[in-house]
Amino acid sequence: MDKSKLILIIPAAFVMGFIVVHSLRVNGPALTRKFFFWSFLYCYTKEFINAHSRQPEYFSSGLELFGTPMMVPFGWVISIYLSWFLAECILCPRGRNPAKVLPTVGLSSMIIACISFMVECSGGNMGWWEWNYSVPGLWHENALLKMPVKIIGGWGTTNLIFMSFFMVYVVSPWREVRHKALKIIGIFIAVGIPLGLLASNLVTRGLIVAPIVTMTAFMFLLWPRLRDYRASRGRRVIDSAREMRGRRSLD
Amino acid sequence: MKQDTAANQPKIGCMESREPLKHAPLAFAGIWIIIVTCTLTNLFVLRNPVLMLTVIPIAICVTYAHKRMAAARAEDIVKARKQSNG
Repeated sequence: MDKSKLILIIPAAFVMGFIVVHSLRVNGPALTRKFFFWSFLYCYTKEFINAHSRQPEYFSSGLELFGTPMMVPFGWVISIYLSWFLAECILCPRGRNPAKVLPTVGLSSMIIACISFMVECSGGNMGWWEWNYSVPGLWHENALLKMPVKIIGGWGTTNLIFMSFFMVYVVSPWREVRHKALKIIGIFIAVGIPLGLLASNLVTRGLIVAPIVTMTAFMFLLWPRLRDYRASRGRRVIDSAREMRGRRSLD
Repeated sequence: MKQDTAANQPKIGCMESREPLKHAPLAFAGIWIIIVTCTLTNLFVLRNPVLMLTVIPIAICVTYAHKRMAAARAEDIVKARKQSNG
Protein backbone atom coordinates (compact mmCIF):
# COMPACT_ATOMS: atom_id res chain seq x y z
CA MET A 1 0.00 0.00 0.00
CA ASP A 2 1.11 3.54 -0.77
CA LYS A 3 2.42 4.91 2.56
CA SER A 4 1.15 8.43 1.76
CA LYS A 5 -2.37 7.01 2.19
CA LEU A 6 -1.72 6.90 5.95
CA ILE A 7 -2.18 10.71 5.88
CA LEU A 8 -5.76 9.92 4.90
CA ILE A 9 -6.40 6.70 6.84
CA ILE A 10 -5.18 7.72 10.33
CA PRO A 11 -7.20 10.97 10.64
CA ALA A 12 -10.21 9.25 9.03
CA ALA A 13 -10.07 6.52 11.70
CA PHE A 14 -10.07 9.15 14.46
CA VAL A 15 -12.95 11.02 12.82
CA MET A 16 -14.92 7.76 12.51
CA GLY A 17 -14.41 7.14 16.23
CA PHE A 18 -15.54 10.65 17.12
CA ILE A 19 -18.69 10.54 15.02
CA VAL A 20 -19.71 7.10 16.28
CA VAL A 21 -19.40 8.29 19.91
CA HIS A 22 -21.22 11.53 19.03
CA SER A 23 -24.04 9.64 17.34
CA LEU A 24 -24.39 7.18 20.24
CA ARG A 25 -24.67 10.03 22.75
CA VAL A 26 -26.95 12.29 20.70
CA ASN A 27 -29.06 9.90 18.62
CA GLY A 28 -28.99 6.81 20.83
CA PRO A 29 -27.91 3.25 19.89
CA ALA A 30 -30.92 2.39 17.68
CA LEU A 31 -30.67 5.36 15.32
CA THR A 32 -26.85 5.09 15.28
CA ARG A 33 -27.07 1.44 14.24
CA LYS A 34 -29.60 2.25 11.54
CA PHE A 35 -27.62 5.22 10.19
CA PHE A 36 -24.28 3.45 9.95
CA PHE A 37 -25.76 0.23 8.58
CA TRP A 38 -27.91 1.83 5.86
CA SER A 39 -25.41 4.51 4.86
CA PHE A 40 -22.58 1.96 4.58
CA LEU A 41 -24.77 -0.44 2.59
CA TYR A 42 -25.89 2.35 0.24
CA CYS A 43 -22.38 3.70 -0.30
CA TYR A 44 -20.80 0.25 -0.67
CA THR A 45 -23.43 -0.75 -3.25
CA LYS A 46 -22.84 2.47 -5.18
CA GLU A 47 -19.09 1.92 -5.21
CA PHE A 48 -19.47 -1.81 -6.02
CA ILE A 49 -21.55 -0.91 -9.09
CA ASN A 50 -18.94 1.67 -10.12
CA ALA A 51 -16.00 -0.70 -9.60
CA HIS A 52 -17.61 -3.45 -11.68
CA SER A 53 -18.97 -1.25 -14.45
CA ARG A 54 -17.49 -1.35 -17.96
CA GLN A 55 -15.98 2.12 -17.48
CA PRO A 56 -15.26 2.82 -13.76
CA GLU A 57 -15.19 6.54 -13.00
CA TYR A 58 -12.00 6.26 -10.95
CA PHE A 59 -9.22 3.84 -10.04
CA SER A 60 -8.05 3.37 -6.47
CA SER A 61 -5.97 0.85 -4.54
CA GLY A 62 -5.78 -0.33 -0.92
CA LEU A 63 -7.91 -2.69 1.14
CA GLU A 64 -10.62 -4.13 -1.10
CA LEU A 65 -13.74 -6.22 -0.53
CA PHE A 66 -15.09 -7.95 -3.68
CA GLY A 67 -13.07 -5.56 -5.83
CA THR A 68 -14.36 -2.42 -4.11
CA PRO A 69 -11.89 -0.16 -2.27
CA MET A 70 -13.15 -0.03 1.34
CA MET A 71 -11.81 3.43 2.10
CA VAL A 72 -14.36 5.00 -0.26
CA PRO A 73 -17.60 3.86 1.47
CA PHE A 74 -16.08 4.74 4.87
CA GLY A 75 -15.26 8.21 3.54
CA TRP A 76 -18.81 8.55 2.27
CA VAL A 77 -20.31 7.57 5.65
CA ILE A 78 -18.10 10.11 7.47
CA SER A 79 -18.99 12.89 5.00
CA ILE A 80 -22.73 12.16 5.08
CA TYR A 81 -22.80 12.15 8.89
CA LEU A 82 -20.79 15.36 9.21
CA SER A 83 -22.88 17.21 6.62
CA TRP A 84 -26.06 16.08 8.42
CA PHE A 85 -24.61 17.29 11.73
CA LEU A 86 -23.57 20.69 10.32
CA ALA A 87 -26.96 21.19 8.63
CA GLU A 88 -28.72 20.50 11.94
CA CYS A 89 -26.32 22.85 13.76
CA ILE A 90 -27.27 25.66 11.39
CA LEU A 91 -31.01 24.98 11.09
CA CYS A 92 -31.91 23.62 14.53
CA PRO A 93 -29.00 23.89 17.02
CA ARG A 94 -31.11 22.90 20.05
CA GLY A 95 -32.15 19.55 18.64
CA ARG A 96 -34.00 18.02 15.75
CA ASN A 97 -36.98 20.07 14.64
CA PRO A 98 -39.87 18.18 12.99
CA ALA A 99 -40.57 21.14 10.70
CA LYS A 100 -37.03 21.18 9.35
CA VAL A 101 -36.53 17.62 8.17
CA LEU A 102 -36.53 18.39 4.44
CA PRO A 103 -34.55 21.68 4.66
CA THR A 104 -31.94 19.70 6.61
CA VAL A 105 -31.68 17.25 3.69
CA GLY A 106 -31.21 20.13 1.22
CA LEU A 107 -28.65 21.98 3.29
CA SER A 108 -26.66 18.84 4.08
CA SER A 109 -26.36 18.23 0.31
CA MET A 110 -24.94 21.73 -0.13
CA ILE A 111 -22.48 21.15 2.73
CA ILE A 112 -21.31 17.79 1.39
CA ALA A 113 -20.59 19.55 -1.92
CA CYS A 114 -18.23 21.88 0.01
CA ILE A 115 -16.57 18.87 1.70
CA SER A 116 -16.15 17.17 -1.69
CA PHE A 117 -14.45 20.24 -3.17
CA MET A 118 -11.81 20.11 -0.42
CA VAL A 119 -11.30 16.33 -0.20
CA GLU A 120 -11.37 15.59 -3.94
CA CYS A 121 -8.82 18.29 -4.77
CA SER A 122 -6.37 17.13 -2.08
CA GLY A 123 -6.88 13.40 -2.77
CA GLY A 124 -6.71 13.76 -6.54
CA ASN A 125 -3.49 15.75 -6.38
CA MET A 126 -1.95 13.28 -3.92
CA GLY A 127 -2.75 10.46 -6.35
CA TRP A 128 -4.83 8.51 -3.80
CA TRP A 129 -7.29 7.91 -6.63
CA GLU A 130 -7.19 8.61 -10.34
CA TRP A 131 -10.11 9.72 -12.47
CA ASN A 132 -10.89 7.83 -15.63
CA TYR A 133 -11.14 10.67 -18.12
CA SER A 134 -12.38 8.38 -20.88
CA VAL A 135 -15.81 8.34 -19.14
CA PRO A 136 -18.14 10.89 -20.84
CA GLY A 137 -18.45 14.06 -18.74
CA LEU A 138 -15.16 13.55 -16.88
CA TRP A 139 -12.80 14.66 -19.65
CA HIS A 140 -9.55 16.31 -18.65
CA GLU A 141 -10.28 19.81 -19.94
CA ASN A 142 -13.29 19.76 -17.65
CA ALA A 143 -11.14 19.25 -14.54
CA LEU A 144 -10.37 21.92 -11.98
CA LEU A 145 -7.32 21.29 -9.78
CA LYS A 146 -7.36 17.66 -11.00
CA MET A 147 -10.99 17.19 -9.99
CA PRO A 148 -13.77 16.79 -12.59
CA VAL A 149 -16.35 19.53 -11.85
CA LYS A 150 -19.19 17.03 -12.28
CA ILE A 151 -18.08 15.30 -9.07
CA ILE A 152 -19.33 18.12 -6.83
CA GLY A 153 -22.87 17.61 -8.15
CA GLY A 154 -22.38 13.86 -7.81
CA TRP A 155 -21.62 14.11 -4.08
CA GLY A 156 -24.62 16.38 -3.55
CA THR A 157 -26.91 14.04 -5.47
CA THR A 158 -25.72 10.92 -3.62
CA ASN A 159 -26.28 12.62 -0.27
CA LEU A 160 -29.66 14.04 -1.30
CA ILE A 161 -31.02 10.65 -2.35
CA PHE A 162 -29.76 8.81 0.77
CA MET A 163 -30.73 11.51 3.27
CA SER A 164 -34.21 12.03 1.74
CA PHE A 165 -35.03 8.37 2.28
CA PHE A 166 -33.23 8.11 5.63
CA MET A 167 -34.71 11.24 7.20
CA VAL A 168 -38.20 10.51 5.94
CA TYR A 169 -38.37 6.73 6.46
CA VAL A 170 -36.15 6.28 9.52
CA VAL A 171 -35.92 9.56 11.43
CA SER A 172 -39.20 11.31 10.66
CA PRO A 173 -42.29 9.85 12.31
CA TRP A 174 -45.00 10.84 9.82
CA ARG A 175 -46.26 8.69 7.02
CA GLU A 176 -47.77 11.62 5.12
CA VAL A 177 -44.35 13.17 4.64
CA ARG A 178 -43.16 10.07 2.82
CA HIS A 179 -45.38 10.83 -0.18
CA LYS A 180 -44.01 14.38 -0.27
CA ALA A 181 -40.44 13.09 -0.12
CA LEU A 182 -41.11 10.61 -2.91
CA LYS A 183 -42.49 13.46 -5.03
CA ILE A 184 -39.40 15.54 -4.33
CA ILE A 185 -37.03 12.68 -5.17
CA GLY A 186 -39.09 12.03 -8.33
CA ILE A 187 -38.76 15.68 -9.41
CA PHE A 188 -35.05 15.54 -8.68
CA ILE A 189 -34.55 12.41 -10.76
CA ALA A 190 -36.68 13.81 -13.58
CA VAL A 191 -35.30 17.38 -13.59
CA GLY A 192 -32.28 17.80 -11.33
CA ILE A 193 -30.10 14.93 -12.61
CA PRO A 194 -30.60 15.66 -16.36
CA LEU A 195 -29.94 19.37 -15.67
CA GLY A 196 -26.79 18.50 -13.71
CA LEU A 197 -25.54 16.15 -16.44
CA LEU A 198 -26.27 18.78 -19.10
CA ALA A 199 -24.46 21.46 -17.09
CA SER A 200 -21.42 19.28 -16.42
CA ASN A 201 -21.21 18.30 -20.11
CA LEU A 202 -21.54 21.88 -21.30
CA VAL A 203 -19.13 23.57 -18.91
CA THR A 204 -15.61 24.36 -19.94
CA ARG A 205 -12.60 24.36 -17.67
CA GLY A 206 -12.88 26.63 -14.65
CA LEU A 207 -16.67 26.98 -14.70
CA ILE A 208 -16.96 25.37 -11.29
CA VAL A 209 -20.14 27.32 -10.59
CA ALA A 210 -22.24 25.30 -13.06
CA PRO A 211 -23.03 22.33 -10.78
CA ILE A 212 -23.56 24.70 -7.85
CA VAL A 213 -25.98 26.79 -9.96
CA THR A 214 -27.81 23.59 -10.88
CA MET A 215 -28.11 22.58 -7.23
CA THR A 216 -29.32 26.08 -6.31
CA ALA A 217 -31.89 26.02 -9.12
CA PHE A 218 -33.08 22.69 -7.79
CA MET A 219 -33.40 24.15 -4.28
CA PHE A 220 -35.53 26.99 -5.70
CA LEU A 221 -37.69 24.39 -7.38
CA LEU A 222 -38.07 22.69 -4.03
CA TRP A 223 -38.58 25.79 -1.94
CA PRO A 224 -42.36 26.32 -2.39
CA ARG A 225 -42.90 22.69 -1.35
CA LEU A 226 -40.66 23.05 1.69
CA ARG A 227 -42.34 26.33 2.67
CA ASP A 228 -45.84 24.84 2.37
CA TYR A 229 -44.69 21.81 4.32
CA ARG A 230 -43.21 23.92 7.08
CA ALA A 231 -46.23 26.19 7.29
CA SER A 232 -48.90 23.51 7.39
CA ARG A 233 -47.74 20.02 8.17
CA GLY A 234 -44.81 20.83 10.44
CA ARG A 235 -46.68 23.20 12.74
CA ARG A 236 -49.68 20.92 13.00
CA VAL A 237 -47.54 17.94 13.91
CA ILE A 238 -45.58 19.93 16.49
CA ASP A 239 -48.85 21.12 18.02
CA SER A 240 -50.29 17.61 18.14
CA ALA A 241 -47.06 16.31 19.68
CA ARG A 242 -47.20 19.00 22.36
CA GLU A 243 -50.87 18.20 22.96
CA MET A 244 -50.02 14.52 23.41
CA ARG A 245 -47.27 15.34 25.88
CA GLY A 246 -49.71 17.56 27.79
CA ARG A 247 -52.26 14.75 27.89
CA ARG A 248 -49.64 12.29 29.15
CA SER A 249 -48.54 14.67 31.90
CA LEU A 250 -52.19 15.17 32.95
CA ASP A 251 -52.67 11.38 33.08
CA MET B 1 -63.66 14.13 20.04
CA LYS B 2 -61.75 12.63 17.14
CA GLN B 3 -59.53 9.79 18.30
CA ASP B 4 -55.96 9.66 16.96
CA THR B 5 -55.25 6.45 15.10
CA ALA B 6 -51.92 4.71 15.61
CA ALA B 7 -50.78 5.86 12.16
CA ASN B 8 -51.47 9.52 12.90
CA GLN B 9 -49.83 9.62 16.29
CA PRO B 10 -46.46 11.30 16.05
CA LYS B 11 -43.73 9.13 17.57
CA ILE B 12 -41.62 12.03 18.71
CA GLY B 13 -39.06 9.78 20.36
CA CYS B 14 -37.13 9.08 17.14
CA MET B 15 -36.98 12.79 16.32
CA GLU B 16 -35.45 13.77 19.61
CA SER B 17 -31.74 14.25 19.94
CA ARG B 18 -30.23 14.14 23.42
CA GLU B 19 -28.30 17.22 24.51
CA PRO B 20 -26.96 18.15 21.06
CA LEU B 21 -25.28 21.29 22.41
CA LYS B 22 -23.32 19.36 25.01
CA HIS B 23 -21.94 16.72 22.62
CA ALA B 24 -21.40 18.96 19.57
CA PRO B 25 -17.62 19.41 20.19
CA LEU B 26 -17.08 15.72 19.35
CA ALA B 27 -18.45 16.09 15.82
CA PHE B 28 -16.83 19.50 15.41
CA ALA B 29 -13.50 17.89 16.28
CA GLY B 30 -14.16 15.38 13.47
CA ILE B 31 -14.76 17.99 10.79
CA TRP B 32 -11.83 20.13 11.96
CA ILE B 33 -9.51 17.09 11.76
CA ILE B 34 -10.48 16.67 8.09
CA ILE B 35 -10.03 20.39 7.34
CA VAL B 36 -6.63 20.56 9.10
CA THR B 37 -5.44 17.34 7.40
CA CYS B 38 -6.34 18.68 3.95
CA THR B 39 -4.77 22.07 4.73
CA LEU B 40 -1.50 20.55 5.94
CA THR B 41 -1.40 18.14 2.98
CA ASN B 42 -1.88 21.02 0.54
CA LEU B 43 0.73 23.17 2.25
CA PHE B 44 3.49 20.76 3.22
CA VAL B 45 3.12 17.67 1.01
CA LEU B 46 1.72 19.05 -2.24
CA ARG B 47 3.20 22.55 -1.65
CA ASN B 48 0.42 24.09 -3.71
CA PRO B 49 -1.09 27.15 -1.99
CA VAL B 50 -3.78 27.44 -4.69
CA LEU B 51 -5.35 24.27 -3.26
CA MET B 52 -5.88 26.18 -0.01
CA LEU B 53 -8.81 27.91 -1.72
CA THR B 54 -10.71 24.62 -1.68
CA VAL B 55 -10.83 24.68 2.12
CA ILE B 56 -12.61 28.06 2.27
CA PRO B 57 -16.26 27.01 1.53
CA ILE B 58 -16.37 24.25 4.18
CA ALA B 59 -14.44 26.38 6.69
CA ILE B 60 -17.13 29.09 6.30
CA CYS B 61 -19.90 26.50 6.84
CA VAL B 62 -18.23 25.07 9.96
CA THR B 63 -17.51 28.51 11.42
CA TYR B 64 -21.13 29.54 10.88
CA ALA B 65 -22.38 26.32 12.48
CA HIS B 66 -20.04 26.99 15.45
CA LYS B 67 -21.51 30.46 15.76
CA ARG B 68 -25.10 29.15 15.76
CA MET B 69 -24.28 26.55 18.42
CA ALA B 70 -22.48 29.11 20.57
CA ALA B 71 -25.44 31.53 20.31
CA ALA B 72 -27.89 28.78 21.30
CA ARG B 73 -25.69 27.78 24.25
CA ALA B 74 -25.40 31.41 25.40
CA GLU B 75 -29.20 31.81 25.24
CA ASP B 76 -29.65 28.65 27.30
CA ILE B 77 -27.22 29.92 29.94
CA VAL B 78 -29.05 33.28 30.16
CA LYS B 79 -32.40 31.47 30.49
CA ALA B 80 -31.04 29.18 33.20
CA ARG B 81 -29.69 32.15 35.14
CA LYS B 82 -33.01 33.99 34.86
CA GLN B 83 -34.86 30.92 36.11
CA SER B 84 -32.47 30.46 39.02
CA ASN B 85 -32.90 34.12 39.97
CA GLY B 86 -36.65 33.58 39.95
